[in-house]
Amino acid sequence: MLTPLQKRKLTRYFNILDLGAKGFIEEEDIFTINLRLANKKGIHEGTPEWKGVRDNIDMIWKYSHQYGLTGDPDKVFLIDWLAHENFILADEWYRENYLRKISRDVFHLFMNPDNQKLYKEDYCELISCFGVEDGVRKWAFDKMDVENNGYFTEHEFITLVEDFHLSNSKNTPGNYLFGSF
Amino acid sequence: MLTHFQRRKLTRYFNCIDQDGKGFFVHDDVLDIARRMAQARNVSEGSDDFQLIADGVMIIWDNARIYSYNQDPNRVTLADWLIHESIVLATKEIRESYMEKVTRDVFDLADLGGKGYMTEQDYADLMTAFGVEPELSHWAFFQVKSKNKDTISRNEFIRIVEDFHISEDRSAPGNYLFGPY
Repeated sequence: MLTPLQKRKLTRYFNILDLGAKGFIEEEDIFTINLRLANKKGIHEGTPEWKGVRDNIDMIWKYSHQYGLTGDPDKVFLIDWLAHENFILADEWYRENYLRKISRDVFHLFMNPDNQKLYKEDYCELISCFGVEDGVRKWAFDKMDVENNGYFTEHEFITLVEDFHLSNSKNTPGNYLFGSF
Repeated sequence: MLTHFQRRKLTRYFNCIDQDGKGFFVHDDVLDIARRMAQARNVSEGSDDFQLIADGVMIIWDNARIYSYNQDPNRVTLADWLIHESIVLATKEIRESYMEKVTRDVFDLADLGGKGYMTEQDYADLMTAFGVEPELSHWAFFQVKSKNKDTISRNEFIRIVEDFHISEDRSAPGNYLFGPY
C-alpha cells in the first residue's frame, strides 16, 4: 500500500501528466507528451523511432487505465492513478517491464550518445516535455546530482526513478524527479 | 465546492505545511512557520514580538481544525484541509475575517521595516517560513510579481493570495504563490 509520501510524489507525477489541470488524464495528454519527446529529438511521426517512443509512453495510458479503479474508458483520475501505481509497484514484472523500461528508453533517447551520460541540459529537455516549469528543472537536477558532476549515468537515473516511486524517505534525491512535491 | 484546479493548488499549500510528508500536519508544524518567520526577523521565541507572529500564524491551525472533516484535535489531514478551504472560500464573512486578515497580517510581518512593499528577499523569507524550498521561494517571487516591478505591494499581495485560492485561470501569476504546484 502506498505511503503518504509516495502518494504525495505520485500525485505530483499525476499533476504533471494532467496537462490541462482538469483533474484527470486523457489519452490526448499522453499523446501530447509523446509528441513533445519526439519533436525535441527530431523524430518524425510515422517513423520506426516514432513508434518506439509512442509504444513506450503509451504504456502509461494502458496500465493506468487497466489498473485504475473507476474503469472510465476515457479518463484516468487521481484515484485510478494511485491504484495503478499501488499495483505495479508491488509487482517486480511491472517494475522491470514498465517502470524501468520507460526509464531506460527515455534515458537512451536523451543521453549523450558518445558517452551514455545524461547531462543537466539533457535532463532539463526531457522533463520539459512533461511540462516541468523552466527554472524548476535545473533546480531539480541539482537536488538529485549528489555527486555534483553534472550528469547521470543510466544506473543513477534508473535509481532516481525507482526512488521517486518507492522511497519513503523525505531526503531521497530521487524524490525531486519532477521538481518539488 | 472546490474545483480540481483549486484542489491541486491547495494540496501544494498543505504539502508545504506538512514538511516531512506524514500525510497530515500537527500543531507544531504550524508553530514552526511562526518560528521560521521569527528567525528570519531575528525575533526570539518567548518575546512579545514572537507572540504577535505566532498569534497571526496559529489562526491557520485553529481554523483548519474548526472547519475540518475529522475534527481530530491533534492533526489535520489533506481531506480536512480541503474541506476547511471549501468552507472558508465559500463564505464571504469567513474569507474576510480569516483569509484576508491572515494575508494582511502576514504581509505586514514579511514587509521588513514597514516599507509598504515586499522585496524578493522578504517574499523568499516568508515563503521559506511556510515550507517552500528556499531556491523555489525566489523562483516563485518572479512568477507572482508584476512583470515591470521588482517589489510586491500590499494590494498586489492580497490579489496574489486570492488568485491562488480562487482563480481558475491557469495563467494567473498567483497560482505560483507557493512555487510549482
